[in-house]
Amino acid sequence: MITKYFTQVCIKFNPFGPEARCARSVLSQIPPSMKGACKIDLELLSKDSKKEPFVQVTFKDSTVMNGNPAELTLADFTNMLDKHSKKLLFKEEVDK
Amino acid sequence: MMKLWNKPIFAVRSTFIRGYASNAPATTTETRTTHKAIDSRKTYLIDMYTHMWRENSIILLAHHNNLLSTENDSIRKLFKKVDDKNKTNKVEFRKLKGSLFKYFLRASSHADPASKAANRMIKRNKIRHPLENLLKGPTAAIMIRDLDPKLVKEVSKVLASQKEKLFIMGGKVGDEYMTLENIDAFKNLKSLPELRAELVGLLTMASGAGVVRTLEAATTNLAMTLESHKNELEKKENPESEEEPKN
Repeated sequence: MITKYFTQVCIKFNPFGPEARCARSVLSQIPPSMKGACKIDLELLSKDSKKEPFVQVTFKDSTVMNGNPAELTLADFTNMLDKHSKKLLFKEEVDK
Repeated sequence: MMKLWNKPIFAVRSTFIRGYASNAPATTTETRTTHKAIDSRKTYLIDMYTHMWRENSIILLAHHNNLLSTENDSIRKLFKKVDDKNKTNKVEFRKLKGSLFKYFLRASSHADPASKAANRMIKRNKIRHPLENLLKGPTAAIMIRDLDPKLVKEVSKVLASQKEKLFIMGGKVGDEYMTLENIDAFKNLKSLPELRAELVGLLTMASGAGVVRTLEAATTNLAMTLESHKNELEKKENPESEEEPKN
């Protein structure tokens, strides 16, 4: 996953639920070198909470992408986010 | 079953082939039949987890997130500090091998989780464990030996400074499996000796006399009824003894 252009990641999940694997994988994809640049907003849900589990990523150009980790897998997220990251990468290359 | 049949035969054979010189009976040592090789890493880790699980009354499972070696060191140091502060209790931090810990949890009801029998038990009964959902990712365990909510509070204070790098998701407290909410409620409780002292204080101070009276009431009642019964018996016996010689 290209995490270079992330500025904010918001993750909400229930660690006992089916979304845990995907949400935790996404969370662990963000390398420690991005700690200054990328803000991580984390919330753990419980069984009874009415909030939906979700993952939301904000890019440098303030594009926002989100998805439900219960329905998607890490590969789906990688595909979805990399599509936009590659666009930004291409733009950066052109501008050089 | 095979093992039971084979054992005596094997013992006899071995004595026959080797031809012991002495008359001493051949001692067959009980060997473990483990699912994986006995000197393998997996057996070692499962044995380690078994020990961990049985020694510690509180085990908190936490997600650890791309810890750098320096961060890893600093977190371990923080836990060490908490550990040093409490001389009677013990805190330990350990990263887990998820797949193996999951296997261990499923086999944990068996006496020897690394054995072949445990594996058969899991497969036959399709055992699943409530905590195994927490192992879908990088997981670490924070182990506390004695049941003490205060220490859980201290540990959670340490973790609060780590934010998304290391956070608790759930765990085992005593014999119960807890979610994050339960742990939050648990850590605000007082420790067991304190609660006991409070109870004793309440009994002696507020309603001490009343409690003593009610506790004594049963025995005094019993004594009185016995006494009256005795009196009645004596009364009955006395007229009889007086009447008998008359007749």
